[in-house]
Amino acid sequence: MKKKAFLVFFSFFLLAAASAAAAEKTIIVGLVPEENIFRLVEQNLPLARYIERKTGIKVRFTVLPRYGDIIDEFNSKRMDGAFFGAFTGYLARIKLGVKPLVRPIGPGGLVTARSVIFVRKDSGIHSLRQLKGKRAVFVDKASASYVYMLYQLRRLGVRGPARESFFSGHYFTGNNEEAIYSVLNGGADVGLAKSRYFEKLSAQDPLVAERLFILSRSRKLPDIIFCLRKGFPPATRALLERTLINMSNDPDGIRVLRSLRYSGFELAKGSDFAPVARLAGEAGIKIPDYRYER
Amino acid sequence: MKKRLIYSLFLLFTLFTLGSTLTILYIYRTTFSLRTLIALHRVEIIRQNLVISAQTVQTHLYTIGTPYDTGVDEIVKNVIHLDNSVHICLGCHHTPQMTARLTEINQLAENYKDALSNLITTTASPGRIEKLRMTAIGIGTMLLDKSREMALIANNKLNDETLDVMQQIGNSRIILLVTLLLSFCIALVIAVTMTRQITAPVNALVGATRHIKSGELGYVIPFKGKGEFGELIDSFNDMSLTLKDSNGKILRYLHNLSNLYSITITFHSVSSLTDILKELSEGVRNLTESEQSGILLRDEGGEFFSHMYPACGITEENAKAMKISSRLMEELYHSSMRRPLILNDDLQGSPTAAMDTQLGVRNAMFVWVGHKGKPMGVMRVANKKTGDFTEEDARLMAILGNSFFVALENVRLWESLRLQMKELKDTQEQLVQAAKFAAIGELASNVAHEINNPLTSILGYAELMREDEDINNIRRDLDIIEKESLRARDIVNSLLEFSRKKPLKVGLVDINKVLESVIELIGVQTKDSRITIAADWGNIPPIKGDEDQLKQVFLNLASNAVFAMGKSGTLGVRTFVSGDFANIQISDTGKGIPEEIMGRIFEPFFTTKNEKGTGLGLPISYKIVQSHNGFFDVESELGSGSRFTVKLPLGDKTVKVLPVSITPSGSGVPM
Repeated sequence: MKKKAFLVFFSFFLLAAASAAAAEKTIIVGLVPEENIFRLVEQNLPLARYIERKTGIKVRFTVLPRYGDIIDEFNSKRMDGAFFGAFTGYLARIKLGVKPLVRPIGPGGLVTARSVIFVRKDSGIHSLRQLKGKRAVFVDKASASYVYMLYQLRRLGVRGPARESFFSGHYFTGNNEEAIYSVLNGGADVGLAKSRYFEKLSAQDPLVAERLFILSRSRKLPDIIFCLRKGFPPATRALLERTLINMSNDPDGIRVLRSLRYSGFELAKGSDFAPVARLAGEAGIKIPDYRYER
Repeated sequence: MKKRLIYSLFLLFTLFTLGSTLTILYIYRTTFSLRTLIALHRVEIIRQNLVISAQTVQTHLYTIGTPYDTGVDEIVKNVIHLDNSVHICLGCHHTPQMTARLTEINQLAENYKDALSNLITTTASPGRIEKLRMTAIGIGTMLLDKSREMALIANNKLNDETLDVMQQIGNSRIILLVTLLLSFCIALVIAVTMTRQITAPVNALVGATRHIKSGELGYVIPFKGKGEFGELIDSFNDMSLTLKDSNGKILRYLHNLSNLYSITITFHSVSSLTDILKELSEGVRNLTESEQSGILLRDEGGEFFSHMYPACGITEENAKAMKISSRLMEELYHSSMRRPLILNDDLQGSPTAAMDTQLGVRNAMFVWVGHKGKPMGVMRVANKKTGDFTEEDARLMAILGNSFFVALENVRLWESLRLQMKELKDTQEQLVQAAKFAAIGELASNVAHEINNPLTSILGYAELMREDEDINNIRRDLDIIEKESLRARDIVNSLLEFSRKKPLKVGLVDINKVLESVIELIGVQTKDSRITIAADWGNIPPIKGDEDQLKQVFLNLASNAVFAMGKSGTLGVRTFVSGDFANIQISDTGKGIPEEIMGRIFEPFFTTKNEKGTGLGLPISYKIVQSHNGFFDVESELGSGSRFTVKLPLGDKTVKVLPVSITPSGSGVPM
């Protein structure tokens, strides 16, 4: 009996100590600029405030202009974690040793995304081979959609220096929405983006659905995975994990999840990166040698 | 007054309510305006923030890619501030025109965000990047212009609003001040008016109470008012007048009572019928303020009621002429139910109607003096000119009548008592003389043989002379005979002297000398006994008294002492002065007085000498000493003896020596 009481008291003490320690902590969370960076911050602010309310841990977002910056500046900006896309997450896991914490689930289960190659309907392009000599617009070299493009080029037998001359020109928008609008507005002939944004803009803007069509799409890849840096305090990690996992049971948490269009979070695992690792491998990417800078 | 108070309080309350309402209204209005102004200022701050944020972002745009680049996070922070400001503005209520402007700004902000995001995240050729930068700067400039334009409009409105509010505050201040002053002035006027209305009658009442307190009964407050104070003052005035009347009545009653008392006292201090009649008639006249007053009394025969004289306002001749038969008076007494006859302006029914008419009487009153249900007299008062008689007069006269009758009875009793006292005095004198003789007799029986001794000697020497022829012997025997004869004569003379009835004679008495003569008498009595006499004479000044009576006292005490000692003992006689008294102590060494009879020794006819005593010696002695303003002190111890001390006042204090009388007394030893 005394032993039990001691354990209960000790657990309570540890929890209180962890909460007290966490209460004074601010964590810096990086955001990959998948879409308009300002909206990205605005969308994620409710989640940050929720975490603060529940754990006392202040969450400060830092936005990175390019996907690859999250790898390069993760340490310099002293980030504790980040919402990674599929490929950036995979890169960070290998290069920085980040550990996946949670990934979102939607009404249909785990939230996944595909990379899509799209063109204007009036472009006359109907196959990937017709893309040769066209102007291309990409999101980022460190995005999964770019890896998918490399995969398709590899399938088309375009390898090595030939890849550089396959398109007549290309540029990186840094975010998915702008890539879609670049093709729609004629800034490029072909574009690559995450399917979620293509679907979103198709729903919001009739011109997108009317004038663009998807030429190719990848297999399902993880959409977002929240990872924490290597060496992140386990107690705080556990607190964050518990808070995020229990959000779907908390009315306050449910409201925040709805604003993010999620149903909840589940524990993320290292194996969640397997689909993107396979895609990268098929694209001929050797991660240690991969130059993701634009 | 109550209504006035209620109206005043209601007016004050209304004034207070109006003032409070006005104040609250203006405070509410002013604070509302201030709130609006503060809200506008807050909005202005938001607009300013918007402008500042936009300007900051614009500045950052020019520094992107330069060493002065502060990073994306700074831009994000400012853009989010900018966005928040726009959304806050949009969230407020505006005119449609303003809403349209704000919507336009909002759209510009959205475009600005897109342009900025593109510029920040895009990696393209320098030309494309520059194009994106210029696009963003252009949108930013437009946003700034629009924001400034809005801020200008808002600022103008804010200025106008501020001026309005300042004007309102100024107006409110003036109105509040005026309201406050007005309320204060009105309240002051009401308070002063009310205070005056309340204090004026109260002061008048206080003043009136002081007048009344100082004895000015009947003081009337001149204050005229309505309402409760008016009623109060009227009541007070009535009370004051009533007090005055009551006081007058009380004084009158006191006067009458005083007169009654003095007359009654006088009744009991006079002892003759003439004096009583005189006092009665004068007293009645004073009490009733009548012109004639007197009393008719049943005469000794009981056949008539005759008017007594002295009387007031009537001559002796007229008084004597008023004689009414007792039968008529008794009929009148019973028919009137013993109530007084008050005849004002109508003398029909007056028992003295004829004389009344003759004397020109207008009003008359008869008050009965009865005893044991029978009329013993009737007091008569009459007026020729002055006022009517009242029931009150009758009541006073009835009281006086009762006192008169008592006084009359007292006079009769006093006369009777005086006669009885005279008889008693005579009897007592005889009794004292008898006691004296008894004492002498007692003494004589004791000293008889003393007289007999010289007689025997005389007889014996006479026989010897008859037989003796020697002339010398005969002469010697004759000398003895002569001496013995003289001795016998002295004894007899002493007895005669003592037993002789003498008139009371008050003079200065030498106590020691009186005692020496008593001892001489007692010495004869104790000659054949072993009783010694021890005398201790003090220096006593002469006292005022009757020498014979005092001698009787001392002889009696000494005789009792000798009797108590029997054949032997010491008779002590001592005189001394103690305080204001001459002390005469006569003591014996006899058997003493038992305690149980100590309290009775001064009772008349109480004696322990059986047939040898009369029981009058000590009572008479006590009375004599008492008549000399002195007193006895008796001490006795059984088996050791007794000591009687007579204390007589020195100097002129023994003022009045009265004839001694004896009354049976159950008291103990008088002290």
